[in-house]
Amino acid sequence: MPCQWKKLEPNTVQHWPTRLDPNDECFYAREFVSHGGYQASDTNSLIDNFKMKPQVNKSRWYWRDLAVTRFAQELADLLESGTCIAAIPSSKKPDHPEYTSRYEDLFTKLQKLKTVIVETPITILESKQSSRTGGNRDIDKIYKNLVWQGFKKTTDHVVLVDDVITTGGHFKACQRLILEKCPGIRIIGVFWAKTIWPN
Amino acid sequence: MPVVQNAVSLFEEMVAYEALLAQKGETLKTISRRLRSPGATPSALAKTDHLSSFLREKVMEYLQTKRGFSVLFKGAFQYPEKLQDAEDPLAIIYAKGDLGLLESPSISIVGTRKASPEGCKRAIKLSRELVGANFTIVSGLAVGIDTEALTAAIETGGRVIGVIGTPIDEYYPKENRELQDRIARKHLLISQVPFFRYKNEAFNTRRFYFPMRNVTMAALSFGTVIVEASDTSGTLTQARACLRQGRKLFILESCFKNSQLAWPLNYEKRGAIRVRSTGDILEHLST
Repeated sequence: MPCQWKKLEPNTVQHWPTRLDPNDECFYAREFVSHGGYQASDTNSLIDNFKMKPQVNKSRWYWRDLAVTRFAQELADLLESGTCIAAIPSSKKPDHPEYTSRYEDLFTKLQKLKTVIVETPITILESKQSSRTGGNRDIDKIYKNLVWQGFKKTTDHVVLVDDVITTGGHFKACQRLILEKCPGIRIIGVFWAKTIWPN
Repeated sequence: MPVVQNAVSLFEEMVAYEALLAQKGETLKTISRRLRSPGATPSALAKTDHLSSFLREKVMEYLQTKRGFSVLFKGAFQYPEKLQDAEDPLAIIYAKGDLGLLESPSISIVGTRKASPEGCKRAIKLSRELVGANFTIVSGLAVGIDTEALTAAIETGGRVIGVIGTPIDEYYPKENRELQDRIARKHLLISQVPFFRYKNEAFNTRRFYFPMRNVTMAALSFGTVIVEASDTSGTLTQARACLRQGRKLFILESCFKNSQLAWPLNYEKRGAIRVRSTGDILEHLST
Protein backbone atom coordinates (compact mmCIF):
# COMPACT_ATOMS: atom_id res chain seq x y z
CA MET A 1 0.00 0.00 0.00
CA PRO A 2 1.53 3.38 -0.96
CA CYS A 3 2.33 5.92 1.75
CA GLN A 4 -0.31 8.58 2.22
CA TRP A 5 0.10 12.29 1.45
CA LYS A 6 -1.02 14.72 4.13
CA LYS A 7 -3.38 17.67 4.08
CA LEU A 8 -1.55 20.86 5.12
CA GLU A 9 -3.30 21.94 8.33
CA PRO A 10 -2.20 24.48 10.98
CA ASN A 11 -2.58 22.07 13.92
CA THR A 12 -0.48 19.22 12.61
CA VAL A 13 2.71 20.91 11.44
CA GLN A 14 5.62 22.32 13.44
CA HIS A 15 5.89 25.40 11.24
CA TRP A 16 2.93 26.70 9.29
CA PRO A 17 3.88 28.31 5.93
CA THR A 18 3.22 31.90 6.99
CA ARG A 19 1.83 33.17 3.66
CA LEU A 20 -0.80 30.43 3.38
CA ASP A 21 -4.40 30.85 4.40
CA PRO A 22 -5.63 27.95 6.59
CA ASN A 23 -8.43 27.41 4.04
CA ASP A 24 -6.01 26.91 1.14
CA GLU A 25 -6.32 23.38 -0.18
CA CYS A 26 -2.77 22.06 -0.01
CA PHE A 27 -1.11 18.66 0.40
CA TYR A 28 2.44 17.52 1.19
CA ALA A 29 4.23 14.21 1.53
CA ARG A 30 7.44 14.81 3.43
CA GLU A 31 9.30 17.22 5.71
CA PHE A 32 12.47 18.91 4.50
CA VAL A 33 15.02 19.98 7.13
CA SER A 34 16.08 23.55 6.35
CA HIS A 35 19.88 23.99 6.18
CA GLY A 36 20.24 20.29 6.97
CA GLY A 37 22.05 19.47 3.73
CA TYR A 38 21.48 16.30 1.73
CA GLN A 39 22.64 14.13 4.63
CA ALA A 40 19.93 15.33 7.04
CA SER A 41 17.36 12.80 5.82
CA ASP A 42 16.26 10.74 2.81
CA THR A 43 13.85 13.55 1.98
CA ASN A 44 16.62 16.18 2.01
CA SER A 45 18.68 13.97 -0.25
CA LEU A 46 15.75 13.49 -2.68
CA ILE A 47 15.03 17.23 -2.81
CA ASP A 48 18.69 18.13 -3.32
CA ASN A 49 18.97 15.63 -6.15
CA PHE A 50 15.72 16.80 -7.74
CA LYS A 51 17.03 20.38 -7.79
CA MET A 52 20.45 19.39 -9.18
CA LYS A 53 21.95 22.16 -11.31
CA PRO A 54 22.96 21.49 -14.94
CA GLN A 55 26.59 22.30 -14.13
CA VAL A 56 26.88 19.30 -11.80
CA ASN A 57 29.02 16.46 -13.13
CA LYS A 58 26.91 14.22 -15.36
CA SER A 59 27.94 11.14 -13.37
CA ARG A 60 25.69 12.43 -10.57
CA TRP A 61 22.64 12.79 -12.80
CA TYR A 62 21.75 9.19 -12.10
CA TRP A 63 20.63 10.40 -8.64
CA ARG A 64 18.66 13.23 -10.17
CA ASP A 65 16.80 10.74 -12.40
CA LEU A 66 16.04 8.57 -9.39
CA ALA A 67 14.61 11.56 -7.54
CA VAL A 68 12.47 12.56 -10.55
CA THR A 69 11.17 8.98 -10.86
CA ARG A 70 10.35 8.81 -7.15
CA PHE A 71 8.51 12.15 -7.20
CA ALA A 72 6.55 11.05 -10.28
CA GLN A 73 5.58 7.76 -8.62
CA GLU A 74 4.44 9.46 -5.43
CA LEU A 75 2.46 12.08 -7.37
CA ALA A 76 0.83 9.29 -9.37
CA ASP A 77 -0.28 7.71 -6.09
CA LEU A 78 -1.89 10.99 -5.04
CA LEU A 79 -3.57 12.34 -8.15
CA GLU A 80 -6.76 11.09 -9.77
CA SER A 81 -6.79 10.43 -13.52
CA GLY A 82 -7.89 13.42 -15.56
CA THR A 83 -6.40 15.95 -13.12
CA CYS A 84 -5.05 19.17 -14.60
CA ILE A 85 -1.58 19.99 -13.25
CA ALA A 86 0.92 22.83 -13.64
CA ALA A 87 4.30 23.58 -12.12
CA ILE A 88 4.75 26.64 -9.95
CA PRO A 89 7.36 28.39 -12.12
CA SER A 90 10.90 28.04 -10.82
CA SER A 91 13.14 31.09 -10.36
CA LYS A 92 15.06 30.70 -13.66
CA LYS A 93 13.91 31.19 -17.27
CA PRO A 94 14.80 28.48 -19.84
CA ASP A 95 17.60 30.66 -21.25
CA HIS A 96 19.34 30.94 -17.86
CA PRO A 97 22.45 28.73 -17.37
CA GLU A 98 21.04 27.40 -14.09
CA TYR A 99 17.64 26.47 -15.55
CA THR A 100 16.80 22.77 -15.26
CA SER A 101 14.02 20.93 -17.00
CA ARG A 102 13.09 19.06 -13.82
CA TYR A 103 9.36 19.74 -14.05
CA GLU A 104 9.18 18.82 -17.74
CA ASP A 105 11.00 15.58 -16.90
CA LEU A 106 8.78 15.00 -13.87
CA PHE A 107 5.56 15.48 -15.80
CA THR A 108 6.75 13.31 -18.69
CA LYS A 109 7.37 10.48 -16.23
CA LEU A 110 4.11 11.16 -14.41
CA GLN A 111 2.13 10.96 -17.65
CA LYS A 112 3.49 7.45 -18.22
CA LEU A 113 2.01 6.45 -14.84
CA LYS A 114 -1.21 8.46 -14.78
CA THR A 115 -3.42 10.21 -17.30
CA VAL A 116 -3.03 13.82 -16.23
CA ILE A 117 -3.39 17.03 -18.23
CA VAL A 118 -0.24 19.16 -18.08
CA GLU A 119 -0.64 22.90 -18.52
CA THR A 120 1.74 25.88 -18.33
CA PRO A 121 -0.60 28.73 -17.42
CA ILE A 122 2.15 30.86 -15.86
CA THR A 123 5.76 31.65 -16.73
CA ILE A 124 8.15 34.26 -15.32
CA LEU A 125 9.25 37.61 -16.74
CA GLU A 126 12.86 37.43 -15.62
CA SER A 127 15.16 35.05 -13.77
CA LYS A 128 15.60 35.74 -10.05
CA GLN A 129 17.67 34.41 -7.21
CA SER A 130 15.98 31.29 -5.84
CA SER A 131 14.16 31.84 -2.56
CA ARG A 132 16.10 28.94 -1.09
CA THR A 133 19.30 30.95 -1.45
CA GLY A 134 17.84 34.21 -0.15
CA GLY A 135 15.57 35.27 -3.01
CA ASN A 136 12.27 37.03 -2.55
CA ARG A 137 9.31 35.47 -0.75
CA ASP A 138 7.13 38.61 -0.90
CA ILE A 139 3.86 37.77 -2.66
CA ASP A 140 3.52 41.14 -4.44
CA LYS A 141 7.04 41.02 -5.82
CA ILE A 142 6.70 37.41 -6.94
CA TYR A 143 3.30 38.23 -8.51
CA LYS A 144 4.76 41.12 -10.52
CA ASN A 145 7.26 38.74 -12.10
CA LEU A 146 4.58 36.32 -13.31
CA VAL A 147 3.34 36.21 -16.92
CA TRP A 148 -0.08 34.81 -17.77
CA GLN A 149 -0.06 32.24 -20.59
CA GLY A 150 -3.53 30.80 -20.05
CA PHE A 151 -4.91 27.26 -20.19
CA LYS A 152 -4.97 25.37 -23.49
CA LYS A 153 -8.06 23.43 -22.36
CA THR A 154 -10.96 24.63 -20.28
CA THR A 155 -10.72 23.33 -16.72
CA ASP A 156 -12.55 23.85 -13.44
CA HIS A 157 -9.45 23.09 -11.34
CA VAL A 158 -5.67 23.12 -11.39
CA VAL A 159 -3.12 21.40 -9.18
CA LEU A 160 -0.05 23.60 -8.70
CA VAL A 161 3.01 21.42 -8.08
CA ASP A 162 6.22 22.46 -6.35
CA ASP A 163 9.03 20.51 -4.72
CA VAL A 164 9.15 22.39 -1.41
CA ILE A 165 6.79 24.77 0.37
CA THR A 166 8.43 27.13 2.85
CA THR A 167 6.32 30.27 3.34
CA GLY A 168 3.83 29.57 0.53
CA GLY A 169 4.61 32.93 -1.17
CA HIS A 170 5.03 31.47 -4.67
CA PHE A 171 1.81 29.46 -4.37
CA LYS A 172 -0.13 32.51 -3.21
CA ALA A 173 1.21 34.71 -6.03
CA CYS A 174 0.23 32.08 -8.65
CA GLN A 175 -3.15 31.57 -6.96
CA ARG A 176 -3.82 35.34 -7.16
CA LEU A 177 -3.02 35.52 -10.87
CA ILE A 178 -5.02 32.40 -11.78
CA LEU A 179 -8.06 33.60 -9.82
CA GLU A 180 -7.88 36.99 -11.52
CA LYS A 181 -7.87 35.33 -14.94
CA CYS A 182 -10.20 32.42 -14.14
CA PRO A 183 -12.51 33.44 -11.25
CA GLY A 184 -14.02 30.51 -9.35
CA ILE A 185 -11.47 27.95 -10.47
CA ARG A 186 -10.43 25.42 -7.78
CA ILE A 187 -6.71 25.71 -7.01
CA ILE A 188 -4.91 22.97 -5.12
CA GLY A 189 -1.27 23.09 -3.98
CA VAL A 190 0.77 19.88 -3.98
CA PHE A 191 4.25 19.99 -2.47
CA TRP A 192 6.65 17.08 -2.26
CA ALA A 193 7.96 18.44 1.02
CA LYS A 194 7.30 21.08 3.63
CA THR A 195 10.17 22.90 5.31
CA ILE A 196 10.90 22.51 9.02
CA TRP A 197 13.49 24.60 10.85
CA PRO A 198 15.37 22.95 13.68
CA ASN A 199 17.63 25.80 14.78
CA MET B 1 -14.34 16.10 -9.61
CA PRO B 2 -12.03 14.40 -7.09
CA VAL B 3 -8.45 15.53 -7.66
CA VAL B 4 -6.56 13.66 -4.94
CA GLN B 5 -7.16 10.10 -3.81
CA ASN B 6 -4.53 9.10 -1.32
CA ALA B 7 -4.30 11.85 1.26
CA VAL B 8 -5.09 11.98 4.94
CA SER B 9 -6.21 14.79 7.21
CA LEU B 10 -3.91 14.33 10.19
CA PHE B 11 -6.11 16.57 12.31
CA GLU B 12 -9.17 14.46 11.57
CA GLU B 13 -7.23 11.30 12.43
CA MET B 14 -5.80 12.90 15.56
CA VAL B 15 -9.28 13.88 16.76
CA ALA B 16 -10.64 10.38 16.04
CA TYR B 17 -7.65 8.72 17.73
CA GLU B 18 -7.88 10.84 20.86
CA ALA B 19 -11.67 10.46 20.99
CA LEU B 20 -11.29 6.66 20.75
CA LEU B 21 -8.78 6.79 23.60
CA ALA B 22 -11.21 8.85 25.67
CA GLN B 23 -13.64 5.91 25.72
CA LYS B 24 -13.84 3.81 28.85
CA GLY B 25 -11.70 0.68 28.72
CA GLU B 26 -9.59 1.80 25.76
CA THR B 27 -5.82 2.20 26.06
CA LEU B 28 -2.97 2.91 23.64
CA LYS B 29 -2.52 -0.87 23.49
CA THR B 30 -6.15 -1.75 22.71
CA ILE B 31 -6.39 0.93 20.03
CA SER B 32 -3.05 -0.08 18.48
CA ARG B 33 -4.30 -3.67 18.28
CA ARG B 34 -7.56 -2.61 16.66
CA LEU B 35 -5.57 -0.61 14.11
CA ARG B 36 -3.36 -3.52 13.15
CA SER B 37 -5.31 -4.67 10.12
CA PRO B 38 -4.17 -3.10 6.83
CA GLY B 39 -6.03 0.05 5.97
CA ALA B 40 -7.60 0.47 9.43
CA THR B 41 -7.55 4.11 10.53
CA PRO B 42 -8.71 5.94 13.67
CA SER B 43 -11.40 7.78 11.67
CA ALA B 44 -12.77 4.50 10.31
CA LEU B 45 -12.76 2.96 13.83
CA ALA B 46 -14.50 6.02 15.22
CA LYS B 47 -17.31 5.48 12.70
CA THR B 48 -17.62 1.79 13.64
CA ASP B 49 -17.74 2.70 17.32
CA HIS B 50 -20.45 5.32 16.70
CA LEU B 51 -18.57 7.81 18.86
CA SER B 52 -20.82 10.51 20.20
CA SER B 53 -20.58 13.79 18.35
CA PHE B 54 -20.46 15.51 21.75
CA LEU B 55 -17.21 13.68 22.62
CA ARG B 56 -15.69 14.35 19.20
CA GLU B 57 -16.51 18.03 19.46
CA LYS B 58 -15.01 18.27 22.95
CA VAL B 59 -11.83 16.56 21.75
CA MET B 60 -11.66 18.75 18.64
CA GLU B 61 -12.14 21.91 20.67
CA TYR B 62 -9.29 20.92 22.99
CA LEU B 63 -6.94 19.85 20.19
CA GLN B 64 -7.56 23.13 18.33
CA THR B 65 -5.57 24.78 21.12
CA LYS B 66 -2.52 22.58 20.45
CA ARG B 67 0.03 23.66 17.84
CA GLY B 68 3.69 23.56 16.92
CA PHE B 69 4.42 19.86 16.47
CA SER B 70 4.53 17.30 13.68
CA VAL B 71 2.14 14.37 13.68
CA LEU B 72 3.69 11.07 12.63
CA PHE B 73 0.88 8.88 11.33
CA LYS B 74 1.17 5.16 10.62
CA GLY B 75 0.62 4.77 6.89
CA ALA B 76 1.75 8.27 5.91
CA PHE B 77 5.17 9.38 4.67
CA GLN B 78 7.97 9.56 7.23
CA TYR B 79 6.37 7.36 9.90
CA PRO B 80 9.49 5.59 11.21
CA GLU B 81 9.42 2.04 9.88
CA LYS B 82 11.38 0.81 12.90
CA LEU B 83 8.44 1.63 15.17
CA GLN B 84 6.50 -1.12 13.42
CA ASP B 85 8.69 -3.55 15.39
CA ALA B 86 7.05 -2.49 18.64
CA GLU B 87 4.60 -5.05 20.00
CA ASP B 88 1.74 -2.61 19.53
CA PRO B 89 2.87 0.00 16.98
CA LEU B 90 1.43 3.41 17.74
CA ALA B 91 -0.92 4.96 15.18
CA ILE B 92 0.02 8.52 16.08
CA ILE B 93 3.17 10.05 17.56
CA TYR B 94 3.83 13.73 18.20
CA ALA B 95 7.27 15.19 17.41
CA LYS B 96 9.12 18.51 17.58
CA GLY B 97 12.45 19.25 15.94
CA ASP B 98 14.61 17.52 13.37
CA LEU B 99 12.60 14.58 11.99
CA GLY B 100 15.67 13.57 9.99
CA LEU B 101 17.09 12.14 13.21
CA LEU B 102 14.53 9.34 13.02
CA GLU B 103 16.56 7.93 10.15
CA SER B 104 19.92 8.18 11.91
CA PRO B 105 21.60 5.19 13.63
CA SER B 106 20.65 5.50 17.27
CA ILE B 107 21.28 3.87 20.65
CA SER B 108 19.33 4.26 23.86
CA ILE B 109 21.19 4.93 27.08
CA VAL B 110 18.88 4.45 30.04
CA GLY B 111 18.96 3.81 33.75
CA THR B 112 17.75 4.72 37.17
CA ARG B 113 16.60 8.12 38.37
CA LYS B 114 18.51 7.55 41.63
CA ALA B 115 21.87 7.21 39.95
CA SER B 116 25.13 6.79 41.89
CA PRO B 117 28.00 9.18 41.12
CA GLU B 118 29.82 6.28 39.38
CA GLY B 119 26.69 5.51 37.34
CA CYS B 120 26.50 9.14 36.20
CA LYS B 121 30.17 9.09 35.18
CA ARG B 122 29.65 5.88 33.22
CA ALA B 123 26.60 7.34 31.43
CA ILE B 124 28.57 10.45 30.46
CA LYS B 125 31.58 8.49 29.17
CA LEU B 126 29.41 6.06 27.24
CA SER B 127 27.34 8.84 25.69
CA ARG B 128 30.42 10.77 24.55
CA GLU B 129 32.00 7.68 23.05
CA LEU B 130 28.85 6.62 21.20
CA VAL B 131 28.49 10.15 19.82
CA GLY B 132 32.12 9.81 18.68
CA ALA B 133 31.07 6.66 16.80
CA ASN B 134 28.33 8.76 15.08
CA PHE B 135 25.35 7.42 16.95
CA THR B 136 22.32 9.50 17.91
CA ILE B 137 21.62 9.09 21.62
CA VAL B 138 18.05 8.25 22.64
CA SER B 139 16.89 8.66 26.20
CA GLY B 140 13.93 9.51 28.37
CA LEU B 141 14.56 12.92 29.97
CA ALA B 142 14.13 11.55 33.49
CA VAL B 143 16.57 12.77 36.11
CA GLY B 144 19.62 10.59 36.73
CA ILE B 145 21.12 8.46 33.97
CA ASP B 146 18.82 9.77 31.19
CA THR B 147 19.67 13.41 31.85
CA GLU B 148 23.39 12.70 32.15
CA ALA B 149 23.45 10.77 28.87
CA LEU B 150 21.48 13.39 26.91
CA THR B 151 23.41 16.35 28.32
CA ALA B 152 26.80 14.74 27.67
CA ALA B 153 25.81 13.94 24.08
CA ILE B 154 24.66 17.51 23.41
CA GLU B 155 27.76 19.02 25.00
CA THR B 156 29.95 16.77 22.85
CA GLY B 157 28.24 18.11 19.73
CA GLY B 158 26.18 14.97 19.20
CA ARG B 159 22.56 14.48 18.21
CA VAL B 160 19.85 13.29 20.59
CA ILE B 161 16.26 12.11 20.62
CA GLY B 162 14.35 12.72 23.85
CA VAL B 163 11.25 10.61 24.41
CA ILE B 164 8.92 11.92 27.10
CA GLY B 165 6.12 10.44 29.16
CA THR B 166 3.90 13.53 29.10
CA PRO B 167 2.12 15.29 26.21
CA ILE B 168 4.62 17.05 23.98
CA ASP B 169 3.77 20.49 25.38
CA GLU B 170 4.23 19.53 29.05
CA TYR B 171 7.33 19.06 31.19
CA TYR B 172 8.27 16.38 33.66
CA PRO B 173 10.43 16.70 35.65
CA LYS B 174 10.16 20.49 35.68
CA GLU B 175 13.90 20.92 36.26
CA ASN B 176 14.53 19.52 32.78
CA ARG B 177 12.40 22.16 31.09
CA GLU B 178 15.40 23.92 29.56
CA LEU B 179 16.91 20.65 28.36
CA GLN B 180 13.57 19.55 26.85
CA ASP B 181 13.16 22.88 25.02
CA ARG B 182 16.70 22.65 23.71
CA ILE B 183 16.07 19.14 22.41
CA ALA B 184 12.78 20.22 20.78
CA ARG B 185 14.53 23.12 19.02
CA LYS B 186 17.83 21.64 17.94
CA HIS B 187 17.39 17.86 18.15
CA LEU B 188 14.20 15.79 18.29
CA LEU B 189 11.55 15.44 20.98
CA ILE B 190 8.95 12.69 20.80
CA SER B 191 5.78 11.94 22.74
CA GLN B 192 3.17 9.27 22.32
CA VAL B 193 0.96 10.64 25.10
CA PRO B 194 -2.53 11.68 23.93
CA PHE B 195 -3.38 15.25 24.93
CA PHE B 196 -7.08 14.94 25.72
CA ARG B 197 -6.94 11.69 27.65
CA TYR B 198 -3.97 12.91 29.70
CA LYS B 199 -5.81 16.09 30.61
CA ASN B 200 -8.76 14.12 31.95
CA GLU B 201 -6.79 11.32 33.57
CA ALA B 202 -6.20 10.72 37.28
CA PHE B 203 -2.69 11.67 38.39
CA ASN B 204 -1.84 8.13 39.53
CA THR B 205 -2.56 6.56 36.13
CA ARG B 206 -0.48 9.11 34.23
CA ARG B 207 2.68 7.43 35.52
CA PHE B 208 2.04 4.44 33.23
CA TYR B 209 3.07 6.56 30.23
CA PHE B 210 6.67 6.46 31.45
CA PRO B 211 7.25 2.70 31.00
CA MET B 212 5.24 2.90 27.73
CA ARG B 213 7.72 5.41 26.35
CA ASN B 214 10.53 2.95 27.14
CA VAL B 215 8.93 0.52 24.67
CA THR B 216 9.02 3.25 22.00
CA MET B 217 12.65 4.06 22.81
CA ALA B 218 13.56 0.40 22.39
CA ALA B 219 11.91 0.32 18.96
CA LEU B 220 13.58 3.57 17.85
CA SER B 221 17.08 2.34 18.67
CA PHE B 222 19.45 -0.25 17.22
CA GLY B 223 20.15 -1.26 20.79
CA THR B 224 19.74 -0.20 24.41
CA VAL B 225 22.44 0.14 27.04
CA ILE B 226 21.40 -0.10 30.68
CA VAL B 227 23.87 1.77 32.83
CA GLU B 228 22.40 1.28 36.29
CA ALA B 229 19.01 0.02 37.52
CA SER B 230 17.35 -1.61 40.50
CA ASP B 231 15.31 -4.82 40.32
CA THR B 232 12.10 -2.79 40.29
CA SER B 233 13.26 -0.05 37.93
CA GLY B 234 11.04 1.07 35.05
CA THR B 235 14.17 0.75 32.91
CA LEU B 236 13.56 -2.99 32.85
CA THR B 237 10.44 -2.37 30.74
CA GLN B 238 12.85 -1.29 28.03
CA ALA B 239 14.97 -4.39 28.60
CA ARG B 240 11.94 -6.63 28.05
CA ALA B 241 10.80 -4.64 25.01
CA CYS B 242 14.28 -4.81 23.50
CA LEU B 243 14.40 -8.57 23.63
CA ARG B 244 10.83 -8.92 22.34
CA GLN B 245 11.52 -6.53 19.43
CA GLY B 246 14.76 -8.25 18.44
CA ARG B 247 16.92 -5.27 19.44
CA LYS B 248 20.29 -5.68 21.13
CA LEU B 249 20.28 -5.22 24.88
CA PHE B 250 23.58 -4.28 26.54
CA ILE B 251 24.15 -4.34 30.28
CA LEU B 252 27.22 -2.68 31.75
CA GLU B 253 29.54 -5.02 33.64
CA SER B 254 29.21 -2.84 36.74
CA CYS B 255 25.54 -3.89 37.07
CA PHE B 256 26.63 -7.51 37.53
CA LYS B 257 29.00 -6.59 40.36
CA ASN B 258 26.11 -5.69 42.65
CA SER B 259 25.33 -9.10 44.14
CA GLN B 260 21.98 -7.86 45.47
CA LEU B 261 20.61 -7.43 41.94
CA ALA B 262 18.92 -10.36 40.23
CA TRP B 263 17.96 -8.71 36.91
CA PRO B 264 21.39 -8.52 35.19
CA LEU B 265 21.95 -12.29 35.25
CA ASN B 266 18.32 -12.94 34.51
CA TYR B 267 18.45 -10.80 31.34
CA GLU B 268 21.86 -12.15 30.34
CA LYS B 269 20.33 -15.63 30.33
CA ARG B 270 17.56 -14.33 28.05
CA GLY B 271 19.96 -12.88 25.50
CA ALA B 272 21.31 -9.58 26.83
CA ILE B 273 24.97 -8.83 26.21
CA ARG B 274 27.32 -8.03 29.07
CA VAL B 275 29.69 -5.22 28.06
CA ARG B 276 32.82 -3.80 29.65
CA SER B 277 33.45 -0.91 27.27
CA THR B 278 31.94 1.11 24.43
CA GLY B 279 34.22 -0.91 22.14
CA ASP B 280 32.30 -4.07 23.13
CA ILE B 281 29.01 -2.39 22.16
CA LEU B 282 30.33 -1.20 18.81
CA GLU B 283 31.73 -4.63 18.05
CA HIS B 284 28.36 -6.28 18.71
CA LEU B 285 26.49 -3.67 16.69
CA SER B 286 28.73 -4.24 13.68
CA THR B 287 27.91 -7.98 13.58
